[in-house]
Amino acid sequence: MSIGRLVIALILLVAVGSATAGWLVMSHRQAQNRIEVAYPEGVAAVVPLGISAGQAPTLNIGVANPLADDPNSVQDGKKLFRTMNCASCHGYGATGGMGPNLTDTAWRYGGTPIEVYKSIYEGRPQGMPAWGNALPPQTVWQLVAYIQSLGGTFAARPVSYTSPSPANPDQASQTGQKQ
Amino acid sequence: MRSAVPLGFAAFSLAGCSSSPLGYLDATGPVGGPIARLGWGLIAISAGVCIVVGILLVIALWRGQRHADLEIKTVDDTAAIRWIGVGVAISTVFLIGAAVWTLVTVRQIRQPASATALSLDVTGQDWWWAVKYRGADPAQDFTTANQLVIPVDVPVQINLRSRDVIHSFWVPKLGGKMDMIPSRTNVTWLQADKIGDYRGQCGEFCGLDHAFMAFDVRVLSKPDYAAWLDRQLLPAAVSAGEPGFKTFMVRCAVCHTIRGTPAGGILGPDLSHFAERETIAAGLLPNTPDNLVNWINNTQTLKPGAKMPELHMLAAETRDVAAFLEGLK
Amino acid sequence: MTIGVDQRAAADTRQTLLDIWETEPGLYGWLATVDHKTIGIRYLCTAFFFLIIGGVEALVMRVQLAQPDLKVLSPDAYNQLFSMHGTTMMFLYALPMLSGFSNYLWPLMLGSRDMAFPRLNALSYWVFLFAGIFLYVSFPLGQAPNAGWFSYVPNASLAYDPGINMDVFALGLIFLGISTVVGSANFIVTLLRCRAPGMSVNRLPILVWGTLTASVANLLAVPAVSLACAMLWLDRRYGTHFFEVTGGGQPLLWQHLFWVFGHPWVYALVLPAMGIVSDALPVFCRRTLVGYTLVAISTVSTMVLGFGVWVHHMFATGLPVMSLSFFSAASFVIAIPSAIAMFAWIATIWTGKLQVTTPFLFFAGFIMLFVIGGVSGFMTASVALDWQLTDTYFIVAHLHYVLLGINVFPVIGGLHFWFPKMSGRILDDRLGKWTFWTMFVGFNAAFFPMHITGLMGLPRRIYTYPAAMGVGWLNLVSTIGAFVFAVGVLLFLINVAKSLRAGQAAGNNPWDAPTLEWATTSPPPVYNFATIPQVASRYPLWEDRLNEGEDRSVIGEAARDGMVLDRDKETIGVTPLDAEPNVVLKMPGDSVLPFLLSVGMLVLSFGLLLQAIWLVAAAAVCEFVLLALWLAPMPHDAVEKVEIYD
Repeated sequence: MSIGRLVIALILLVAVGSATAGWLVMSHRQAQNRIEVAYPEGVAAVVPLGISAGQAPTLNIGVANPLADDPNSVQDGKKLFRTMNCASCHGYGATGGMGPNLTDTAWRYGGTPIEVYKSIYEGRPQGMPAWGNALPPQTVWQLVAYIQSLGGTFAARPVSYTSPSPANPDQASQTGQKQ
Repeated sequence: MRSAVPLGFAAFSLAGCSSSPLGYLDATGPVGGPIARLGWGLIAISAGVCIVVGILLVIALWRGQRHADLEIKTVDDTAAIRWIGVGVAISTVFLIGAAVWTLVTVRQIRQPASATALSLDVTGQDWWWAVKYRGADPAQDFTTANQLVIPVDVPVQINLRSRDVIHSFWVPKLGGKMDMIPSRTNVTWLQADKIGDYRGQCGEFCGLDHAFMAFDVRVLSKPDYAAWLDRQLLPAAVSAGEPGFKTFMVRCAVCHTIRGTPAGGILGPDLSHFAERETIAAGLLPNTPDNLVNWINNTQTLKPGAKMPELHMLAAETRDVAAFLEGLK
Repeated sequence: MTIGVDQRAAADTRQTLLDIWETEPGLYGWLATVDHKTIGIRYLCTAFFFLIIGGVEALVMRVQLAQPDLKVLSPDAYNQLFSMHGTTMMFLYALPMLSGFSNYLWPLMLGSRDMAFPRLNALSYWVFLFAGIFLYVSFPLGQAPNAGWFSYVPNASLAYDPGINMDVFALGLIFLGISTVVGSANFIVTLLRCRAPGMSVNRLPILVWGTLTASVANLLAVPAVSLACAMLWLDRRYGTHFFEVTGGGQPLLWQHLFWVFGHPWVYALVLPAMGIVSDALPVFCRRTLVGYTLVAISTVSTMVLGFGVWVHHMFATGLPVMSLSFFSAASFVIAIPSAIAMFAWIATIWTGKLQVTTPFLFFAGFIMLFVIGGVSGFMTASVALDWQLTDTYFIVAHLHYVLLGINVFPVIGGLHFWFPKMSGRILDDRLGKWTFWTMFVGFNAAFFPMHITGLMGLPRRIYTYPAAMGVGWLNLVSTIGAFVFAVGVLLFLINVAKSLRAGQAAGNNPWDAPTLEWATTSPPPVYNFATIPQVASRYPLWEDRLNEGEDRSVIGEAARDGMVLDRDKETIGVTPLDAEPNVVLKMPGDSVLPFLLSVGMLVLSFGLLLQAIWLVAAAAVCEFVLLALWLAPMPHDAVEKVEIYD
């Protein structure tokens, strides 16, 4: 009986201890509701709003999202999408609002990963801020990963804009073009 | 008034209330005043009840301890039950009195004595307040943020809305809370009978920065108010050549509006006459250039979770922007 | 000679009963036991454990609030802590603690051998335990529920609270609701059928009245919050629009559903505790309770009125003034039954001969806290004043005076009072008095200043406040008081540990109390009473001294023609009002099914949380199989099928 009690006490101790430790570590991390950027002074190149009005130049169009396959990146991107206030224009489900819908296949400035990256980086006319100065590339790719996970983007290679939206963007970005 | 000193017992604990910016027991005006009087009345009744019951309890404890033997014997409780009846009857009288006083107060403050001459739309959102003044024609509408400016002795109708979660509009010195609930428009009113600055605060838990969601109410004399209104109706006085102007347009304009410039963002507070505001970041810091620089640089440290991102601007850019904003009279 | 024979016969009977009732030793027996005393003590220990967890959370928050502009906690960490503090104290401490008392005491007080549904009783404990664990499952991930125990939408909706925080809350409360509802049903049926012959409704201890009232209320109220949580979860995870404004939902619907549950729930947390005082306080006044009938009626009427005042939590939501006035008036009226109970306690002390023991101190202190919590409630009942008071620290002060004052103080007093019955040893009285004074002083130092900070306008649920508020020193006093209170709780635990090891032996009735539970040994045998008692008055053990009537209760082995019921696991069933025996109830034996069913529910909840369909399906299938096993009819001998006493 006393061994039984000892076991219960031990289990309790371990459970409470590890839960507390976990909470301390994790809630501290959650509290960092900010993006840490080691941004060296002097490198700040202001990307003027509206520099790329109209069809975006299609340089490096073949670049795939290095984080597209990482589910954590999708989650982080989703969180960023809310914390960085993207959601207030594009909607909480990214289905559009004041800003365009990001889940469909209509892309004014291109729907391949690098084009989405550029839109976030440079900003677009009529309201889309340029985040390139605020967010490191890693973070922008996380946002792109989240947008890719919504299913409306295209594969990394140039594709016909009339092609249907790939059901699984991760798969699509691996297999490439889909007609 | 030395004779009042012994009565300072209440002041012992409650004197602080008047010095507190959110204390409401010294509220004045046609809404705050009756509630404050009701508050003092109910506090007095409550304190009286506590004292009477405390005395009864002490006497009971003192009486009961004088018995040497602890044997149980039958007691006739008729008298005791009668006294319970007396106690309950007295309590009921006070309860009915308090209920009537409450209902009279509610009736008194429900609507202003005269029709409201001024009507404002206040929209709560995470975690600041947009204040919209409606002019005679739509061209004269303008929006400001985190600061209500109202004329003295005029009942002001406030239409409360929310853009995201439930907030609660509360200016303790001028009246009670009213929630701002998405999909509803709640209407309240307030009237100040003294010129001065009053503090407002969000009264309903609304997430991360609930603690930092405050605002100011500035009560002006009627001529001052008219002058203020005229200034507000003018577009912001900016010169496009300022270094801060350009940086602002590139970095800040997607979220903030400055009337009369291309900056037309509606996500953050309208900054058209920013320099006139008492505080920045919804009552968080006094509006000084140093605080503004600090706020732009350390947004997420000062107000963790605020929707305004840290933009990591160069020190010179930040200074320029701050100087530009502090010039927006 | 005959005495020797009688004694031997009695010993044989006891052995027979022991063989029938005793739980198997070992792990199986530990998981399978349905003994209400074991379950009751488990409830008490688990609830006390959660009290400590919730208390530590509160202490961390008090450190953060000790001075203006501290940064011990981030806002999100603070929000998690205050949400978990509230949820833990309201759901995992307050009601389970009282359920523990009632589980342990009801059959003993009522002169029965067990609750009406012993396996359901075990189920309600295991579900409570696993729901408690489930509510903490996201805590180690730093994603504990963070929208408050009231969890108002849209703040708790997916848009503003991504992550699993509020899913855990919603599913956890639905899960816990099962425990509360089956527990309540069990109490109600137990009261109606499982009493000693003669224990008619006018002879019930007030604790029984309190728990009965609370149980009926829970049956009606808990489904509201379970429904609301289910709707919240569907909104969050399956895109329904119950509360979603963009889809035509109404955020106020949540508030109505939550408070139509929440307010009766608060009464469910205090009425049984008030019952503890009504039963135990008179023992130390060496007399019976003044106005038994009045107190019983006030208990029930408090709850009836309690269903009509929920809107006083929503005075500032912009509802029509007419309806607010109605709810305001109703909230004033509810003070009347409380006043009756309070005056009855004071009259009992006034006309009594006091024996100042530790439990007595807790109960007397409770009366003062009850009054303070009552009058602050009276102030918030006023709709106009509440527009200022609501969501300030005044409410925090009020609710802690109510919940700590009216729940924790009677509970600690009650633990001192019944500890001898549960363990056979008396808690040290000297240390107990130290416990009381530390807790009482600490409590008032912690929470009285909150009235003042509230009147100074300090909003609640803020993680820090500016120095300009001028409330820094009052908050420092609160923080110090909170730690003093915690020391008091620690002293109590030390006392328990010390007394379990080397406490003074209690005997059957150390306080010379009048109710049935004190007639049996301490701790009671697993079958409670070798012979089912026959009750003739409200105070069976004081009858000779009170000498109120001719009839005498028959308790213990003196009852030669009493019912022993030693053929099988049996107890007596009675008519609901007059307690005339009319049936012998066959009690189920130990079973591991309640435990397994609860584990299944835990897995099911995990499946829902993770939205893993295969896990949900597998768990659901297991649950159906377990339920089928549970509900499969047991074969009986034909002779035993009907057994009616006239």
